[in-house]
Amino acid sequence: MNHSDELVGKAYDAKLMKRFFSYLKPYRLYVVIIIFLIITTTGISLLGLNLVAKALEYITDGKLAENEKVSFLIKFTAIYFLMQALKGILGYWQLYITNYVGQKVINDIRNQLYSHLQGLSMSFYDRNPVGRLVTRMTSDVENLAELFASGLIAFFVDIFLMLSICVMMFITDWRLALISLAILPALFAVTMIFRSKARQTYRDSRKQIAALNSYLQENVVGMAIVQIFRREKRNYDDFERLNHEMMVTNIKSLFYFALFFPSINLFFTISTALLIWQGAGSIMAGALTFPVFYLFWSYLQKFFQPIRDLGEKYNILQSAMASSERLFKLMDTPSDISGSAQGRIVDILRGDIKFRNVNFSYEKDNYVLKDVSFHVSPGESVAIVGLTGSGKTTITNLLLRFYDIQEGEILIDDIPIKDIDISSLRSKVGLILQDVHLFTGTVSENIKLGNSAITDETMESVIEYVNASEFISRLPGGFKSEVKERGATFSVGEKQLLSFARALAIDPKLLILDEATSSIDTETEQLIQQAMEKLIKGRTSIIIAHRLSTIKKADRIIVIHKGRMVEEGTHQELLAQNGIYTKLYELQYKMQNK
Amino acid sequence: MKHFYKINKYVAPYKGKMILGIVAIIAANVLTALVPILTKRIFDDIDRGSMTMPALYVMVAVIILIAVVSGLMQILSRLLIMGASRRVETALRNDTFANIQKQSPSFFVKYRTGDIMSRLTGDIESVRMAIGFGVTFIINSFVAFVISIGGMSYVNTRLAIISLAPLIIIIFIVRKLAALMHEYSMKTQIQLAAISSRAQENFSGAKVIKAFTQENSEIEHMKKLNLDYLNCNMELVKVTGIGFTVLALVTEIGIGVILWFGGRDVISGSLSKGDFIAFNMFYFAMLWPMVALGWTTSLFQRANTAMERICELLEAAPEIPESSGDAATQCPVLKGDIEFNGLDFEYSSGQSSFKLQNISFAVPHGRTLAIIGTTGSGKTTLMNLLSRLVKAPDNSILIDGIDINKINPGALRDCLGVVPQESFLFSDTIRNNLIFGRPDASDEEMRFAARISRISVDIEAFPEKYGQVVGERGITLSGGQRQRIAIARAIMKNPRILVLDDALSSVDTHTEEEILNGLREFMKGRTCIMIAHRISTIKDADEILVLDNGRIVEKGPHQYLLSLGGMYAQMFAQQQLEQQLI
Ligand SMILES: Nc1ncnc2c1ncn2[C@@H]1O[C@H](COP(=O)(O)OP(=O)(O)OP(=O)(O)O)[C@@H](O)[C@H]1O
Ligand SMILES: Nc1ncnc2c1ncn2[C@@H]1O[C@H](COP(=O)(O)OP(=O)(O)OP(=O)(O)O)[C@@H](O)[C@H]1O
Ligand SMILES: [Mg+2]
Ligand SMILES: [Mg+2]
Repeated sequence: MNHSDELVGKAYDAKLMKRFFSYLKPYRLYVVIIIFLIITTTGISLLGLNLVAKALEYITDGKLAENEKVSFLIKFTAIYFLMQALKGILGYWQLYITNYVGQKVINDIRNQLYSHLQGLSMSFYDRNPVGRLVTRMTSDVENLAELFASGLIAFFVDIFLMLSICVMMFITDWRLALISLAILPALFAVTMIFRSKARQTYRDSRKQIAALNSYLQENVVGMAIVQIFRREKRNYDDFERLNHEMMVTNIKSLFYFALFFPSINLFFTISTALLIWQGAGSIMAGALTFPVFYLFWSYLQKFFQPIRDLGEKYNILQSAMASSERLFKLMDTPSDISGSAQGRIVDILRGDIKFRNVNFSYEKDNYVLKDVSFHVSPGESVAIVGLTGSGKTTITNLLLRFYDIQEGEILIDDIPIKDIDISSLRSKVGLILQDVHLFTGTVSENIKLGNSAITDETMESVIEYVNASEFISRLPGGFKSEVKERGATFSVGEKQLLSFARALAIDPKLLILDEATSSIDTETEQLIQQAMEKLIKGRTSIIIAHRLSTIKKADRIIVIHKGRMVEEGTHQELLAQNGIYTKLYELQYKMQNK
Repeated sequence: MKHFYKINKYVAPYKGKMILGIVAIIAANVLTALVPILTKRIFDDIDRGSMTMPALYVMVAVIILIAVVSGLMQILSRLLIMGASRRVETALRNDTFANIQKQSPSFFVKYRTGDIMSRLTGDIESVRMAIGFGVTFIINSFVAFVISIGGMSYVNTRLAIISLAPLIIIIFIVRKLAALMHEYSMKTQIQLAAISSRAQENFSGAKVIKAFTQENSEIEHMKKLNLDYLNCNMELVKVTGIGFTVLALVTEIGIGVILWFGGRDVISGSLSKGDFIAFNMFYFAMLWPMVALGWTTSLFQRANTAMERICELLEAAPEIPESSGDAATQCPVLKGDIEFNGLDFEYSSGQSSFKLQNISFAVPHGRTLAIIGTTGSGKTTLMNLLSRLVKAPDNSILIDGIDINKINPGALRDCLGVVPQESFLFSDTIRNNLIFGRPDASDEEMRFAARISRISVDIEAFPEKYGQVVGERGITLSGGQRQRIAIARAIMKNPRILVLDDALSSVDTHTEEEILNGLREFMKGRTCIMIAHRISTIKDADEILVLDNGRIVEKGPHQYLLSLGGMYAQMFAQQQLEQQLI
């Protein structure tokens, strides 16, 4: 299902890395400082070792006079402590800045990812489980942080070190150098094999953790349903299976990880053994002096140090690469809604809506709206009526451009909707969704929704309109009362009132009510109806409702049936047509009076 | 580390593997230590001129052999210890999930979904790291310490004591820093959970965010959370950084001390040069383990914090325990007589001042009760009490005369079919959603339920029919389709008691009537509770409760309530009036 998964190979990795490093650009200066600090601290510790060695030499070989020795020792110890203190301070800053840059980078990546996700269309959210997206935002990004923390920058410094050591080795004695480094091709081959094998398991692992999280997310949100329907056991089994699959993958990757570092180590020892074998032989033959051999030996140690370090961290690197694949792929997902950025900004919305022969399907070929045409004039109030599943909510989805249509045209104020800047359009539409959604926060935050232009007075007046002031005043903290996730501690009707208030608070030019009062008692509904008379004045409004009583104030009624517009007119006109509307109306009347 | 110890229970099954792994680490370390000794032998022999070519070959071969064996030991230890850590991780996650499954809605009011997700991934990961890497590193360090300290004491006990003295400071520093690390780890994890929760709510409310053009303010908010997280992390880096630096410094002080005291001893001749060098070498061998110790400490601190957070979920006592009451009342076969007996109830969360007061009514089995009432009057709360999602006071609700608190919640729910007010579907096929409560049901039964709830025609129109996969919560369906699937799902259970909580609010009148007609047949012989706002939906019920602000204000059949001329009659008049107006 994921085609980019096939893109294994060096070129591909280099591309990932390059993209990854592009995030370091803003922190160039820091990177330079880090490199400087790494070099300095390494220098100091090497110097320190030399100093100790020198001191040992002086003390042990009796070159100094007895009385000089003590003063030398004092001097020496003082210098040594100073150096160590300096190294400590520099080392601390190296650690701090490295982490800082790493954190900054993943911070940037996370922000960028989030911004990108905010721009994706509804059809993206229809397809992608929330748990998966959350996994990308947290676990995958954290995986990259791990890479930085484990010294990604230091590693690139190390490569230079290795190269220079290599050069030094060849300059010193190319034959010994060849023999000591003979193992490198094998090492390279093992690394490549490891990479391709390990990467796949890390990829699987990322996929599985996302699946697990999605399952978890759904189960937590729907736990009451799970319990009422007694699915605990089965769902536990499902969870356990997902968890187990992930473990199997992880243990598989563990196998590569367990194998890799020891084999690098083995290569190192073999290299050393080769050097000893060749070196010792040459020394015995008198072709090599011990000091040169010793030099070589220490070179080899230094040469392998970064390789062994990398061996330990290679799994972190591979896992991070697998994560960055996912992240970049997500960041590269284009929004289905095209041209949203450079659209025309509508400052004042008149509220003129035209649908012209609109055909629309959520998924290929399965058309939900067929050849729908209608016109709503500014200030008009139009009701949409129809059986369940006929396409009413879909019309509102299109009006806010949550989805793009396949055929036909939608015009707002005579501008094709595709040419309008989306947020300038949406910010003038008050939409009351059929599914109420509240966020964690306070009541007032849920009404204002981050819109600082809404004053407390406006908020209180809309609350008055929707008749929710009594219920809010009963809450322990009034408008400051906590709202829990999804408004879990409110009744459904109360939530509906809040979402009604939310839509009114932005003083919309176009008001869309999708079953806005379906869960509200008759009395409150009545009061809202009365308020609505005032509210819809000067605004265009579209009202969807199954209870025909709710739409009686509408100027005109549109009847949708199986995705087609079948009837249109005032209540009286529709009754005269004796069609679907008449049937619905009579039914309601009959039920009421039976 | 008091929380981390709780992991013992999970590690116990892998004790054997862990011990074997530890032995392998020790063996690998000891073997690796042999290589320099052999190398020294080779060059000593060359120096003395006693080395021959064949002997050299043998020695080199032995070195390689040692490397191979110690490599195998390393592999073994990794496979065993890290393997065990993965298994522990999995078991811990399973158990935590199982405990979450036992929790009532009040628990999920307390813990946000994103927070729970964060604990089950990030925190468990930290624990796993401590078991896998932490243990490996600790053993490595420990072996190195033992070898070094042993060697040092062997060479010169006095010097060993003096040079190791500064290390005592480390114990205090580590203890002090550990407390700080714990604090900052906690903050970091909480902050990450905040990011996770925010993202989770944002993604599941994407439509509202878009409709109200909140994208930018959400991005700003996330930036802030992100920055807070960065700052927490940097605080943690500060603490661990200081820890690392001090550790390194103290160790280096040790070297100074050796030079100072040892040097004087060498000068005075009380310490041989060879001993002095050997002593130094042993001390140097301790440097790396010291650094690793710092790292391991932070690893364990993080795990300790993580374990504390996991245990909050793992050990949370369910508000409504699986088994309460004696065996006889545990799993009765219920007929479906319901009685509410002077119930008083208040939510304990302090989220609202709502109270149910003196609720008394009875529904004999096979009868239908309807509840109507103002918004927020407590209808759903009553149903949640009945299905034991919320804990009722003792003896206030009786099913078949048994106190509901004495009935196993599972047994109770087995005979209950609930259509909740908000339809929640799973992102699965429609078939699996329909058979959610009865996975063994036949296709016949499924189609029957779909017909009664008038969803079958819609399903047949989907490209994949019953195999159509719906989005999370059912977002790819219309509101009415979702609700009808929820009705069918409840019918599928073939329940003794059917609860419909405003279950027709999203369907049109035509469909509503069809469903009600279908249900009438189905409801025969079953106890039924219907909540609705429209009188037309419920007027045929055997009894109707009128609820207002947590109290029953009227009670009786339709005609009787009309004759009372109270709230119900008023509602009826209003609804009729509305009807005529159009
Ligand atoms: N996001 C989506 N992806 C795919 N199909 C969808 C999506 N949303 C709705 N549909 C389908 O489109 C059709 C029309 O749905 P819509 O929500 O517009 O109906 P509606 O008239 O609002 O019905 P109701 O009265 O039940 O709310 C339905 O068959 C539904 O399954
Ligand atoms: N978990 C909770 N914690 C605290 N208060 C709650 C909780 N759930 C509901 N409430 C409060 O209890 C009251 C009754 O809620 P309930 O959901 O029972 O009302 P309802 O009669 O079903 O209303 P509606 O007709 O709107 O569905 C409301 O005021 C609500 O705010
Ligand atoms: Mg709809
Ligand atoms: Mg309710």
